[in-house]
Amino acid sequence: MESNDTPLLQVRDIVKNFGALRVLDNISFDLNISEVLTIIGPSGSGKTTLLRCINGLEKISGGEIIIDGEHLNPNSKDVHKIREKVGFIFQKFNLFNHKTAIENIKIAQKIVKKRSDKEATEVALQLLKIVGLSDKVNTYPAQLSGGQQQRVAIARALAMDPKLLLMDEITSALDPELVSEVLDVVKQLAIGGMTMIIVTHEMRFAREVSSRVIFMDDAKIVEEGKPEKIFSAPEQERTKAFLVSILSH
Amino acid sequence: MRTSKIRVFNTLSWIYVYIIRGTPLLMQLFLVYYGLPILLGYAIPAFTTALIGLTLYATAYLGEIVKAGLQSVDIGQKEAAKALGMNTIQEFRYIVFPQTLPLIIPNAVGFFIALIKDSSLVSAIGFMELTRSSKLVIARTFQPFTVYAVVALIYFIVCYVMSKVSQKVEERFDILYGK
Repeated sequence: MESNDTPLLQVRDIVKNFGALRVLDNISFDLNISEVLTIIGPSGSGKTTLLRCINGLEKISGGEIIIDGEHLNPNSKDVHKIREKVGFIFQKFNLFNHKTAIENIKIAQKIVKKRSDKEATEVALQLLKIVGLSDKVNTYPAQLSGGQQQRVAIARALAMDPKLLLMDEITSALDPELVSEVLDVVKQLAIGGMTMIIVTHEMRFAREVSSRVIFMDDAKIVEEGKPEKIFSAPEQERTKAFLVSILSH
Repeated sequence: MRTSKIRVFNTLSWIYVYIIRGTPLLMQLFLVYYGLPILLGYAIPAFTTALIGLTLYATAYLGEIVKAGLQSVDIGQKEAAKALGMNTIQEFRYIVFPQTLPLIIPNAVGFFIALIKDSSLVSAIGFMELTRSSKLVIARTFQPFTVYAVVALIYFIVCYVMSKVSQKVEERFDILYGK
């Protein structure tokens, strides 16, 4: 897509090493507002690490990440200010165990965004309604199913009005029958114009929801393009082999 | 400090904890009682000795209890706090610390119960606590069984009340977190 605006996210030649192991090798891409980028690839290819680098949960070893015009420096004291703009949904939900669904959604609004209790409550109730959990307002995470917990986690991230949402295999820890209730919420977000980077193994979902797909293998971007192209007519042998292996079971 | 990333602190506190946990409390009390006057050049009262000895002992154990509490909080909780834009202090204050309490409180109470009973040892260095007082009473009344029975009952009541309170607190946490 041609756009004169600066991309929301610029990833420039980033490198990440864990000791002697290189897990990200010169990764570069841009992401425009309202784009939904899906990253696919075998486990260990660096997808999750890439996502974690983009909000500073991992420190990059080289290159640069620019979000909304600001350089991300994980060592900076102000890294939490950039993180306000970047929501992250975890594979294992990571809801705060000692807080109810609504408190999970309110806490960061109040202490980070300095919203009043009334305002935070209104936002939280509205979001719980959107993710279909209006009846679970005062329920603790331990009493929610995986799918419900993940929907609360999405609401919690949305409450911070993020410009970008990062989703790290958000359905991988779920029982199969709970996957669709979470993916339906994500589809609604995509339709609503939310900018997202999604790491997933759900290929049908990826094809349906993405505006662009990146295939990663062995720490590198192997191929990138429109979902129709990647899934129907991949150019690289490695992409073909991966798709065959994942679709055959 | 045992969770500290700074190596020197980590090593020093490791040595401290292992010495205190690896030696009997009675020996530590004797070492403080006979050792401190040599270092300082003058004698110190039994109360001060008992206070210093028990403090050294308690810090080592409580430090380990707090450490275990902090380490029990899943890294995912901290990452979620960070990802929502919380700074380190907010992350600790609102997310990590409240979740350590259900583990720290019962363990700390258990330790204090043991400590109250162990405090009878300070009678050995001449401090007038419950056990030593009882010896004086026995010397006057010549009724060791009755006196020791009463003393044991006092220890029991104090410890029993503490463990009951701790149990209530634990139950509260369980209800609170919906377990």
